[in-house]
Amino acid sequence: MTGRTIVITSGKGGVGKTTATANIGTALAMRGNRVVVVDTDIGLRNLDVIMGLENRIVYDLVNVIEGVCKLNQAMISDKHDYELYLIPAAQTRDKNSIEPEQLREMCVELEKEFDYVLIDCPAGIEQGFKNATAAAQEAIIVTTPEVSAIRDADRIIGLLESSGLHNPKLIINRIAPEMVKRGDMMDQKDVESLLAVEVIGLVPADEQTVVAANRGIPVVHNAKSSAGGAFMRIAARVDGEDIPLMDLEPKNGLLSRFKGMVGMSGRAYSHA
Amino acid sequence: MREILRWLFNLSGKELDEATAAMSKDTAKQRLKLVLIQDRLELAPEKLEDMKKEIWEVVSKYMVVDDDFMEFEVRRVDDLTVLVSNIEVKDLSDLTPAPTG
Repeated sequence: MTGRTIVITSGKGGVGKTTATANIGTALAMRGNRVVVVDTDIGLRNLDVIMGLENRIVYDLVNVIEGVCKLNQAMISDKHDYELYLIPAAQTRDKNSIEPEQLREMCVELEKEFDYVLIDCPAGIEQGFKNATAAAQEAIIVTTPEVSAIRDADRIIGLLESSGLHNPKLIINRIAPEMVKRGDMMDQKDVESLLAVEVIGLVPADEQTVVAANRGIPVVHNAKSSAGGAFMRIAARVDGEDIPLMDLEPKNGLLSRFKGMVGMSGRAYSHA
Repeated sequence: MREILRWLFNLSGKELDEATAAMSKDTAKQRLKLVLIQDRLELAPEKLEDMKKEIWEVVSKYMVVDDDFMEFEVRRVDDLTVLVSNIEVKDLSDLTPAPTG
């Protein structure tokens, strides 16, 4: 088996890389794939808390790279009945503790065992970014519809391109449909025209994402959550399904009320 | 005019103000367009202005062009970064012949 290694990156911090990694990883596993998610944000690890696995860490990524433990000793199994593992970042080391080739070698090993290796990339464009991107063959860029995040995403697209990672896919996260409707937030078309990359997912701002992070249970587990549904569809697209991007309507809009009446909720659509 | 619009669309005064005011996303897009050009070219803003001016000077040697309407865009096409410029030609009949020598 040769799996796919995908880096999830953004440039700007705080746009939802870790949330995206946890949710796409979980959703891919729910779809029956063998998945491992790797936190490469050394010194500022967070994927463990978003996935609710923080109390089960014994070994970490740097331990694996330095040969302190075996690869499978650092893999924490998710508590559910599917194949999902986390390799946590080291918290007390710095980003220069590993080299790009070392991470690449580790991912080559993981690709033999897993369908998907998802790498949660640190913010910024320094060593941590170089490590994370060197290990991957594909990239997903997370942005929000804000000027700063889009600007940084553009920088990242350029850097990925020059390091040979072509055709990155874009997730536009935290879209507020009411703001888009009144012209106070850029929509999919606006962002696409600026960045000229393919959009693989539109994720609405959803309070349930915060609730999910509080509980350490990725929001894809919440069947009623609009963001969870969006991440399920992203995972399906990553997995090769050709499903259209959904129009995000304001919650109390006429259309969503109509959809509600005829039973076309976001969740139902997510399995289409 | 305002009253007609209000009557036609049955809008309140506030809604009408919002509908006719510039949408902030358009401001964002416009600002980003310029910033991305600079980032992609790795050019300082003043250098970009210099380049614009020089290109305008060269083109205006040969034809009458609008000095207000000059658009620059840096686009990615596959692996290439391309500079696209739109310059409005004001008057085709007034084309001055290329200077010789």
